[in-house]
Amino acid sequence: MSEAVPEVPEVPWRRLDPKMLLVHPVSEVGRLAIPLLLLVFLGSGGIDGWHVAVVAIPVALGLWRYATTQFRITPEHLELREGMIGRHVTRARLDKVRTVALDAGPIHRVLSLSKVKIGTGDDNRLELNALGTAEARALRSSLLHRVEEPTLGPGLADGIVAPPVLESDEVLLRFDPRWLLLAPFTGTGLLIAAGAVGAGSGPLQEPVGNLGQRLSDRADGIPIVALVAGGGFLLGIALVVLSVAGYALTNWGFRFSRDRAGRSWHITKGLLTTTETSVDTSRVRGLSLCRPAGLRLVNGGTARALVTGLKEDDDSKSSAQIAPAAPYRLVHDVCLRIAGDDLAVDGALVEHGPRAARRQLLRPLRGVLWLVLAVAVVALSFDLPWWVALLPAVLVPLAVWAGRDRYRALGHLLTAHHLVAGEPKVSRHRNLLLRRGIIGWRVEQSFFQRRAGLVTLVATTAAGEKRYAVVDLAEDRATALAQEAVPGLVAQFLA
Amino acid sequence: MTTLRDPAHQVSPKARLRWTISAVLVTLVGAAVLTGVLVVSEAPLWWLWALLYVGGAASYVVTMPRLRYATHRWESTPTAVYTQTGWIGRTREIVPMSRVQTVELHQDALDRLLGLASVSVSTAAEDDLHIALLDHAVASELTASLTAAAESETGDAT
Repeated sequence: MSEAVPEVPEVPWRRLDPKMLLVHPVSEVGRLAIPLLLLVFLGSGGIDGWHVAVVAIPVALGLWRYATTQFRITPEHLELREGMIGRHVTRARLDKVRTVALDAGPIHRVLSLSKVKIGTGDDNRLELNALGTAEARALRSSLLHRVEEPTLGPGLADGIVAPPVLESDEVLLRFDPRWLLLAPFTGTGLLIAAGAVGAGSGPLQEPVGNLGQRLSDRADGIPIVALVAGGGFLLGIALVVLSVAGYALTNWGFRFSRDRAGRSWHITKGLLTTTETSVDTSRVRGLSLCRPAGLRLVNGGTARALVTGLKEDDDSKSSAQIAPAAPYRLVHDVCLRIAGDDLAVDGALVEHGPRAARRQLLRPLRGVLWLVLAVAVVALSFDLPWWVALLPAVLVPLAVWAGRDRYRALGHLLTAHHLVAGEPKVSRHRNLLLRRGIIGWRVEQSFFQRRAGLVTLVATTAAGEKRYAVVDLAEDRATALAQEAVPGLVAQFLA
Repeated sequence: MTTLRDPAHQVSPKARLRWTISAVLVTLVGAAVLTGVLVVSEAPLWWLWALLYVGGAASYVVTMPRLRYATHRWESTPTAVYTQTGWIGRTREIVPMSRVQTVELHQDALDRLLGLASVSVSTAAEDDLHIALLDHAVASELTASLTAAAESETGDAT
């Protein structure tokens, strides 16, 4: 038995790209900013030991970090050994690798380096910072396609021959600078502006105050209406500029492609920092098309793919953006091509009926009612005239529009491969969840739903939001839908 | 008319006592907070607020455990786990055995005193499925059988 075991050669450890010797000292300066500043201030004038230390310490630490970081690819594992003082080995099983992302900030790009971030099913990820970009791409394709290329592994250690992965890929969606025109309709400008105001409110207070003072000194004689209109106009311009800039920063050069064999998807984007995300298609559990009210005005939309074991950033769940705000026609075509299920992308959704419509209409109206009550309480306690409380009532037409729009987005559809759920939201999400990706059901019924005979059927899954709801469906129809979507599961619990 | 039936088993009858105890504890904390607020603010209608609170708290302590006990049910078959929870609303959950990742048995100090235990079943989705307050013997038997069933399934359950 024992002699049958083949000799496994010890795989040698490799270092990262030597160009990191240029990058590390710079990032060490960032890490040590405060102690280094102290050193500069401690030193007297002229070149002396203190100043030499300011240069020498980061360089030495960078060298040390480079020398102590090593990785290797054994037939089963990818191992990363690091630790400037202690030694820490992170190990990822090659067959557990779900996603590989290449990341390059401005410094990395100048030196043609890329960070390789490797995601396995669980939440911890392994990061190689950094390899040469060509080498990183080769590593990525070998990690994602290792089933087909079993010889990779030890062979990867010496002189990597980069397969022309990107050239042979089929491009599904490519960035067009005209998309920037859609950016002001996405609402990201508002978010960025709010963030900027929040971050800048402290240090900016004084200059803004001075400016206001000077403006009001000069503004004598200009009518207040003109001032407000002018301010509003400037604010509008600022929002537009911010949203376009934000959109360009994240999405410039966006490219969504797949390899010819359909094994993996590649998403590249970013103006200054470029990110290349690769997704093993066996990890994809569905799609989510989105047409928020703003983008609908200009016929735009976005789309995400639901992927297990992929955490792009902190706020998004396990999904990857496969189309940024773009003309809806293009977004829709991409979804058609990758879903391979035309009915799921295009088919009319089954409506949930008048009781569901009433619930969706009442929801925003109830919000207005609460607002009226809140304002009434304030008016009472500050001795304002009673009619102030009725002011929020001007929102009623908006609430009615929102309620109708919510119902228009609501619906469901079961196709050969997907459960399609239209979320009752003004943002119009159409979620396509692969039926084989459903890992459980929840049938939720609130007190009021119970009285209306409706339930919310939730399909749980390992990707995306992890729960996709078919809202306000009659109880028997929900049960039938669950039974049909995943055969053999619900039947045993029927009445 | 296709509808789901209730899961087969009720939780332990002692669960009512356990829920009552926690309801009493919660309402006592609430009472302490309310007393503090009323004393500090010297509210003119303090007796009205107090009366409202006592009424609300008493009906919560009396009705919640009974409604929960009436709703909470569970069932486990060779291919799936089925639960029903809630007291005002109602949530039913079904998880196929092939998607179960881990099975856990929980018991806090009060549970141990009463001989109760809860089982939670996790999948690759966000929320676990909870079967609250079974008799300890039932819970450990269920945990063992679920673990065995989940282990016999292959694949990574995503």
